[in-house]
Amino acid sequence: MELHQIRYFLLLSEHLNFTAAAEACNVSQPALSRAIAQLEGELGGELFRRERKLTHITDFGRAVLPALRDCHQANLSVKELARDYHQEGQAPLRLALSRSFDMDVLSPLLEELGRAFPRIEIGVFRGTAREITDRLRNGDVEIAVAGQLSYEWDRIETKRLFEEHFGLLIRRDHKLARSEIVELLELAEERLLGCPDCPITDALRTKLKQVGTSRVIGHEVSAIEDIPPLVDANFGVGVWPTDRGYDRDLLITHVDGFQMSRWVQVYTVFGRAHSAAARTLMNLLRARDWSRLLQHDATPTELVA
Amino acid sequence: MNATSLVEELATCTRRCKEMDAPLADRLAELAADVHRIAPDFADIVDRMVHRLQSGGAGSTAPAIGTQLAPFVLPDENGHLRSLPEFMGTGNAVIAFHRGHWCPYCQIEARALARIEPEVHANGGRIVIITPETQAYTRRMKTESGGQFPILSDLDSGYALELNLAIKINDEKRNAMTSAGWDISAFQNNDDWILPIPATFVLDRAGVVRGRFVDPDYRRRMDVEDMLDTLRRAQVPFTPAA
Repeated sequence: MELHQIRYFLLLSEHLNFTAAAEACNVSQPALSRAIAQLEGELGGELFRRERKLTHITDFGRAVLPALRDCHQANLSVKELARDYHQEGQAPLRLALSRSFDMDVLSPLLEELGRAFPRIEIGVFRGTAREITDRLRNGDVEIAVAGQLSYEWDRIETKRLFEEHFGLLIRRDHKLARSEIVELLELAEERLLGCPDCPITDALRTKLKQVGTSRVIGHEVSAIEDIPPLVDANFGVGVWPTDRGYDRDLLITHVDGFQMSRWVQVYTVFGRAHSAAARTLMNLLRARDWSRLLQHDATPTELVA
Repeated sequence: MNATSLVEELATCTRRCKEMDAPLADRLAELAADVHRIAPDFADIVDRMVHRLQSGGAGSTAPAIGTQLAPFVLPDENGHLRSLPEFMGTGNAVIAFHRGHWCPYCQIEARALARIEPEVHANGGRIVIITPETQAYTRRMKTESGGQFPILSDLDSGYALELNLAIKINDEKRNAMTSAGWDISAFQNNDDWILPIPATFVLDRAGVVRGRFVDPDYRRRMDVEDMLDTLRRAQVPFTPAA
């Protein structure tokens, strides 16, 4: 496929009119038709059908559209980065992260960005899925790294990064500390400690209600770092990402038959003008070897004596 | 033959071809012959795809000899951003587009590149491989090749498209690849089924293309002897033929 063929295809799929698309592409109509015909030849199927004055995109055209759009978008990013790399221009980057996402995972990527864009200026927002979704929608952030958004719309671009597993953080002298697995019913008397609107905590709460726990007592903290000290202070069992370290002498246990995990994805919005820094971060996140985060086991960092 | 035994048999053939004491072209041809023998249906699908690409002139508009290669900045297998000018800093460079760690022809070529790498380095040159895969796979490819060269992630083939090298895999080929255990969507972190035409560019210190091998028949690659010859010739600046 040639770059100009894809560009013409994308513009024609928007305009659905050869004359208008040729104008938008700044080429003659025969040149546009020829490029589309060549692309059809290579792809082995008809992309558009002309009926009298109307142009329709075919099912085949619709099927290949997302892939060609991705590829074209990636091409724009490559060019943009090559142009702005090591340049002194302003590089704003507004980013939203779920509360459980560990900044230590992101920092090497940000270090790369800092080298690429010496004048980068970042704004990091942490919040609930709802808050993150609203900010992404309103254009307050360019990129979000989070679990499931609270709602999606057709221009949202989503890529999976890794599966985030959670466990229950407990004190060593807790009665549930005797095994690595606890029964759901054993949690009936426990107080749950988690972040507000955390889907994992909510799912566990719902499950406990289903098995007959009348009232689930919970503590909420908006900063996830507050969970280990509170667990240590006997404020219940904490809902905690198992890949994340903590600096207290605590244990992680799991609930028998109840999977506490979710996919962490990177989100951005199609069609918006994104900074080169945002596009680059998106690529660095996607390219990263996420199996390494998962391989690393959740041994607590050494207690400072 | 079921899919598992096909994959195993192919892996055995690939290992043999990788270590064969023969020119790269012969090793690649040997593997292609093996595929025709053990999976004739698969080979037919490949032939059809290659024929379609060739008749449409795919890859013919990739950068020509004497032109400047477009710049790139892409992450390597360790997540560090690497740029084209950085590789040109010390001398000539070989830029090779590969389909991915799973591709037996790429494995054979990567091993051949690893073998000539000391000689390339001795002459101040660098080898760089570009694939559309994420780091878990570029890292694996590097380890398996035994090379020192960086393997860069060109996600969604954005840079390959810049050089008119991106191709879309059709449903027939996709199904054949998936059955063979090559679900590239997992390797590329997308559902696009786009691959680069394997291509090799030998650049001089000014970033000008001095040697070029682009063939939509992915079973054929630039011969390493040609590569080394071109690198030697590229020591002197390019003068367009009159």
